[in-house]
Amino acid sequence: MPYEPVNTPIPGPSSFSQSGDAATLTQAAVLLATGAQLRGDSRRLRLTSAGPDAARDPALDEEFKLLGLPELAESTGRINSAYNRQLLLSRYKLPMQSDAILTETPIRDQSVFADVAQRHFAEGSSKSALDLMEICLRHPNELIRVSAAAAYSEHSSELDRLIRILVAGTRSTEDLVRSISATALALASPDHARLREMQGPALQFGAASASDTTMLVHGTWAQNSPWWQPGGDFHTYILQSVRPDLYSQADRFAWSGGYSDAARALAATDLVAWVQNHHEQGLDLITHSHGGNVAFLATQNGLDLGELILLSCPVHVPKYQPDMTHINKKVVSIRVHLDLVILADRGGQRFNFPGIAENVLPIWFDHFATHNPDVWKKYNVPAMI
Amino acid sequence: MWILKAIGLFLAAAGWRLTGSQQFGAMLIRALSAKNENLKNIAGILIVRAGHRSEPLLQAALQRRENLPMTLSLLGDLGDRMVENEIRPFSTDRDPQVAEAARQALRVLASNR
Repeated sequence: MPYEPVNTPIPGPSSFSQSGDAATLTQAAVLLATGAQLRGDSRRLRLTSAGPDAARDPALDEEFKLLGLPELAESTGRINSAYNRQLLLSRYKLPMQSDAILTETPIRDQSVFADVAQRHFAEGSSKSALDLMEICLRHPNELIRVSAAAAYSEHSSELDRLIRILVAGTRSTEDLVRSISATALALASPDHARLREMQGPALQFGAASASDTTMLVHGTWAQNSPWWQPGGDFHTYILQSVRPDLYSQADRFAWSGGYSDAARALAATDLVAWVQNHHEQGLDLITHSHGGNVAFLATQNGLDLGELILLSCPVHVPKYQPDMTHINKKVVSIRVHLDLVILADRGGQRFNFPGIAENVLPIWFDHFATHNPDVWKKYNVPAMI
Repeated sequence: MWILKAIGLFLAAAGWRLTGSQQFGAMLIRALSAKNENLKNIAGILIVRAGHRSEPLLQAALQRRENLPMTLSLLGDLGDRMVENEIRPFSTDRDPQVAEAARQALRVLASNR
């Protein structure tokens, strides 16, 4: 049965000592909002919409105040949640549960939740917030459990445990529980099989038919670099001006960026798996540096590509070379003169390989110039691809 | 001018290879924190190319938590299983980027077996 709409939330910790729809929904909101506080969502939203001078989003802060939430500083990173749970359960003399038990035994004593909430509202620390999330994972109500798991997913060291709770939530008969669970699961584990199952055959067919998709593949040690990720300067430029079909979901492909044959081989295997899981056919790739060699290895592993654009790719033929029978359109190499990073890598600068079109920009030495949007505009790189 | 610094890194790598002096290696380790991506990548590549000579310097950098995601990745790239135990604790690090880099480094080491 759907929850009754709430016109006025029950503010403060008192919602945790009450039952009924308003109390349950308020508890869920407190947990989700506390997760947002710790992630710094308020500040991030404000930075996105109003530039770096503004510190926080007043609209979001106002709603946090209506819930009576204490102010919380942003807190990133994961805690040792198993240890934290041990401390928490011993405080309330609750039995420890073995890690081997895959289902959470609900805590029936409502006063435990009320007390942990009371402490959080009084103390207002990241520790008290995480305690509240931890204890609510064992709440008898599934909406509160999945809200706690959603809020805790960026802070707990036991992500598998949270994913189990979220997956169970996706099977709820309650729309709200399913919706929160699926959203949180998509953020915590974008490739989870349960999400594909939930999409159903219609959506899966839609993805398979989307053959015109382009994706960026980063190079060595660039896994955490912003330029190739959604919102990054190069990604934004390509999406807006060159390839509107550029893949922009959070679950985009990434690899370790390791500087070794083993790291590239693993990346190629992962790329093939990623494409299979996403039902992409004839994906176009724009790669930088050794990302191009990862793509070559993937074609040798049977991956079918449309177009392959290589930016500053170190040439290591025959170790890394494309299987042209798996490339349906063309391979274009774009590079600069005497790339110093490629020099250090002892790679070749120029492809002398049938089927690869060479383009040399009038720039010297800079390995990273080829993913600079200004360079693309100035030298009309889109015309080369 | 980053190009002059880059040439300095190539010279340092050559000096390290010829003399074995860790001072040259330390210059490369310091360059891992360069803001210029070219310098950072050149230093990383030269460190991996120096092979096991780099290990003590990288292990010291690991203990100091210097340039952490990249230091972990470099240790994985060297392929020496002896460093597995030093990398492993970082796989549950509070910083998700550090934890991910450690997990990837362990995966690369395991795939080398």
